[in-house]
Amino acid sequence: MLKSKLNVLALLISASLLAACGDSTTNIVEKDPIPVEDDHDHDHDHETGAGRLVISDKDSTMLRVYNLEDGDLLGQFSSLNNASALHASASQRFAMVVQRESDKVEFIDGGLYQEDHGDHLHPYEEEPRLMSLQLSESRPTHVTTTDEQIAIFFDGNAASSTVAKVAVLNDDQINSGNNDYPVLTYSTHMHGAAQARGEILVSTIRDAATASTLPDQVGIYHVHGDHFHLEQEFDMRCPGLHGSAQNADYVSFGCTDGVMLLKQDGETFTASKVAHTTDFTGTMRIGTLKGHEDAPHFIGFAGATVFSVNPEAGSLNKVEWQAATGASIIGYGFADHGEKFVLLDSTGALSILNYNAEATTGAAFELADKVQITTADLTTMPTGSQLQLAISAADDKVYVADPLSKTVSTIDLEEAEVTETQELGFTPHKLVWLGIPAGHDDH
Amino acid sequence: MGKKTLLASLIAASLSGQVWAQSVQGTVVDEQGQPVAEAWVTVVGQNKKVKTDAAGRFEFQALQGHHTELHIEANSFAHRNFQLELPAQGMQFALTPTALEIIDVKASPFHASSTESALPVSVLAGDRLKMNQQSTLGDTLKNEVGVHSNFYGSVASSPIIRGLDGPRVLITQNGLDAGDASRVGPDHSVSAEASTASQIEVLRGPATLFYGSGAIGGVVNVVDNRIPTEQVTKGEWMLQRESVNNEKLASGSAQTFIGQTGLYADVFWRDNDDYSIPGEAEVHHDDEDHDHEAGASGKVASTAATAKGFSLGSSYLLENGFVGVSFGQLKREYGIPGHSHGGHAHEGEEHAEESVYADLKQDRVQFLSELDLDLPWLQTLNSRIAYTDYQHMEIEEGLVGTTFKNQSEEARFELLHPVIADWRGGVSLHYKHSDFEAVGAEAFTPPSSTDMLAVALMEERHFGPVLLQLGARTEQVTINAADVLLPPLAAHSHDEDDHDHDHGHDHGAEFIRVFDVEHKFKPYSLSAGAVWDFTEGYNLGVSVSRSERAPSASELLSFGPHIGTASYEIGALFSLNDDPHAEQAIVLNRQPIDMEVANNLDLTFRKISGDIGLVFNAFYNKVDNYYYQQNTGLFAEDGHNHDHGDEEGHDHSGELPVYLFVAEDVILHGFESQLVWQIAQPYRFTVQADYIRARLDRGGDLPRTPPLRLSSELAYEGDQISADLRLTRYFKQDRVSELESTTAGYNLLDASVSYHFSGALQDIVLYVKGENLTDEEARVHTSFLKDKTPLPGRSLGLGIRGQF
Repeated sequence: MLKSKLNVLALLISASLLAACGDSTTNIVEKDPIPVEDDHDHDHDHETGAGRLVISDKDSTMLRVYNLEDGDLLGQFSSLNNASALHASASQRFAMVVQRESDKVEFIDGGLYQEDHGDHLHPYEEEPRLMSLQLSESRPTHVTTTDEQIAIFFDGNAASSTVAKVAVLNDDQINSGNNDYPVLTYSTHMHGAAQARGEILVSTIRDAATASTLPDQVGIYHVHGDHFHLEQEFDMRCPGLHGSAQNADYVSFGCTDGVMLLKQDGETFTASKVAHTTDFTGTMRIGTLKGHEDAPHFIGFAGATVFSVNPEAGSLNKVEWQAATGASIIGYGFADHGEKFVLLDSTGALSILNYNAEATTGAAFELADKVQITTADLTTMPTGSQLQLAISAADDKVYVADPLSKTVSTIDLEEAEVTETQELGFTPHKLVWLGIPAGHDDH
Repeated sequence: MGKKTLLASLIAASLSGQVWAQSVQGTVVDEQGQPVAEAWVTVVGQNKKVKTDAAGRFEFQALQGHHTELHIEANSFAHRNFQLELPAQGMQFALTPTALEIIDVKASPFHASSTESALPVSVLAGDRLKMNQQSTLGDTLKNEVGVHSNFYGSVASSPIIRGLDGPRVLITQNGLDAGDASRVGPDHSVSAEASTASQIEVLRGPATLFYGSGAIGGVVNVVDNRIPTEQVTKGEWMLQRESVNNEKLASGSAQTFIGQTGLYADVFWRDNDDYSIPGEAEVHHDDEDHDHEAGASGKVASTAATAKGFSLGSSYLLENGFVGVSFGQLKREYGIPGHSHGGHAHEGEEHAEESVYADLKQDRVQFLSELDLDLPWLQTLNSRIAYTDYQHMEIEEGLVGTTFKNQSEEARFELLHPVIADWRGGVSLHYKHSDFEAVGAEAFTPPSSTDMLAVALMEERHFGPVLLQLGARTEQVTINAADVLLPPLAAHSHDEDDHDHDHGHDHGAEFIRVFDVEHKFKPYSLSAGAVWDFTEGYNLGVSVSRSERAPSASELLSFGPHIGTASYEIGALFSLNDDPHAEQAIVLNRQPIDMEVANNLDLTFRKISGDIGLVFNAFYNKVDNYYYQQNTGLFAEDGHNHDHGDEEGHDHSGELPVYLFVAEDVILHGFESQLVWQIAQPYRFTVQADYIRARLDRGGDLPRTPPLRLSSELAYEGDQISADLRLTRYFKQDRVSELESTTAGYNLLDASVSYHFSGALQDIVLYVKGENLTDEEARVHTSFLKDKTPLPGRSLGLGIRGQF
């Protein structure tokens, strides 16, 4: 019985093998293709390219966000108090709304940002929004940023014996609204300056026994969870310290007797000072410094006199920018990815300086052009108002808000001309550019 | 079946001594000659069935022909067939006791049970089903021999039969396709509920003959009584609470009749929170940075679920069968664990996992009928028709990400002829239509419609002690998809280290290619099986089959990110471009699309009667053109709208590895065995083992293959107290596919104690059960979420159920 059954099975198996060529057909008709709507375009220079402007209102707490692509108003938000300054965050996604007299910092998400997707940075374009995070410490004053970090110096208040603090945060913390950023807390108030360098914070130290609110020493602090530890205190004094900047290797501070430099080599910092040259007369001193990650030189202002600081050579060189008589510098910054430096002065002129990173002697900044933003009589400017400068990190445009004409002008640095002027309908007070910085290798 | 006949024969049974032409009258007895009451006696090949009375007596009248075959089954006895000449009066039919639990499979036109069919089957029913039922079908069946769960974080687990799942295992409800989206993604829940089921049947091995292409690996059939077939009034209810996830379950069903109209209703509700685990949820591999703390809390996030459903049914009970319709609705909301696109921080207090959940709804209308027509050429007509409207939405942070819809109709008619030359059998006509659609960010499959039309012939005959079963089926499957998209895939390899920003290149001129695709397949299946009762109480089964399967729409047409499998899936209609200078990595596949062909051999040895029962099954399945997803080594964007924050550590989390469906020859072989020893009356000891090896013919192993498993169970069944203690050892799985990691073995200790008592006109069972009593941290090799969702930790369940 079993045998006959197995025969049946064998028969079945062979039958199936004979029929093993399957029967399947596939019919494919290609239809009209759909053009790709590149919603995540990799050539960002178009949609998200120009970026956005956040402009505060002189007469109210209103902050408005404009799309620079088309000039559209994208959103408006009310800060708790009038903004004393607007700064862009590390990645230039957020605007920091500093309200010095009200001891407050708020944040606005400009809506443009990018994520690292390995092979490319993926841009996003969203609606602007007011963030939940608020910093409420005494007298937020100097704000410095790198590509990754923000250091906000809270001066504290001598009158109320409130101590100074430095908060170091990044854009993720602003985004998440976390209060887990570290804070350096001093034992005294001070009109100080701080530069964040990863886990290290280079910040000023003031002798509480002195009368001046200005510090005269610098320390290296290391982050420890939610606070900092002082790791090194430099003996070198920097009397009347005011102004600070950093680049890849150096941190600089303005002192009444020169520019103090800290060179970082791994964990080690070495202090030096570039003394004043004969170009300095009387009480002239550098009180403002500006640096750029990729620029080996700093640029410093002693009033309206501009100096190029070469940290390697330890030299100070006067920059000839042909300032009009009585002009004071009211806006400045590196532009066009660090290749240019712009100076806006109180006469309404925008000076465009070319920066030569290779310069070893002489001034590294050279006047290339001047653009007169306005010919109006700026002495009629309302009290507390002045022209305001914002610099795009995406292209070679800068923007100047004019409270007198209630406009914002777009200046093309390449063409060295005002290419566009937009009516605002309110009196602008402060402004800041937000958006996606162009990659270096785009050029 | 044959309800009226039952009444008639009971009446007839009381009329002793009367002689009927073409009739059978007899007594069912045990080995000692004592009568066996409540034994079911069926006339094979005719829908006639009666139950023996207290004296073990039964009677049939007006039977056809001069020979007949009776099938007799009774609790704790081996099922047995008797062939006799008509008329037959005063005969004794002796049954032998068995330690094995034998329950008939409903979803087969042939009589099938774990001891009598050539194809291995198992049935989970009664108290065992009630104690094992879980919120997912996979977890409900995971202790059945040869069945594993693909454990998708307890929310969407579906059963794996002999290492196969997805489009190869058909899930049916009352014999008809469940009509959900569970076959295209492990994160899609099966839309069938275990708590209201009366039995769940598992057919292991190819069952394409009855069910078509989708059943090449097996069938799981969830049976309930939504269409009543008997004039009885009965009901059951259940309340249960589990500790590990705070699951609360309430379910109940009731059936009655008014005249000839049968009525049925059931309802269930279950709700659970995220489940607890002994350790951390996520396995941290050294090469990843893992600042996020999601899951470290001892709970697995996004595993909460809530479900509810009901069914209503009515049937008209006739002399010769029944005709009935039912409506069922099922709603389920369940978290989708492991769906973190990198585990970002949001504006919450902590780095919380994104809340992603699915919202599922299914409406199902069913028509079932079995009619004995007694026509010269048509003995019985069995009809099954279903219409199912299914949809589920995947919702992220309150927004619908992707919607899956499946509208399907199915009809199957079995036309069984009268016994011809001792051959029983008939023809099955089968039609199925499915409109499948996925819309949204993770719509990896284009809309498609699938039509299937089939005709099958099945015949069986006893040759003395050998039962021979033969079958053949031919099918036509058409898959139509009007808009199959071939987008320019921004895929890239991570091997090259030049992650330079290639933004510069011109994307402006790119197009998504669109194809109107029609696939036509004509798969056929042949099978032959034999069961040889070579000596009293033993049998030997052999089954050989050759089955073809048309690849499913998702296997052919997919093109997109599928978060459920954490991969970018590309169907077999496309292929990888070998040309290194070509612009696109993925192009249209110019090669013919072949059908999958399974050649399967099953051998079964059974010892049925006596205190020791044994079923041993070995199988060898060679599958040519087995469609599976091959890792291409490429990565593509997950297509997710990243409206969440940018932060460090994001890296490649927005990207998925690209898997391409390719066909290769594979070999699956293994065994299943079950030994039951009735030690002394209330004590029973069961040992079970199963093993599968799944490998590519050219070398290498298939992914997510179940490990060797060994379990032993000691059960006590007293009159009032019943209890069991089960230890299951899952061995280490180190036969892994490329890019798959090995999984350590683990032990699971489960136990339950039940107290049975009568109260308020019903039988009530109060029970406690404990699962994973040793709180073992266990990772399931067959799970797509192995590294993210371990098995639940220790759980204690308390429940009460009643039956009337």
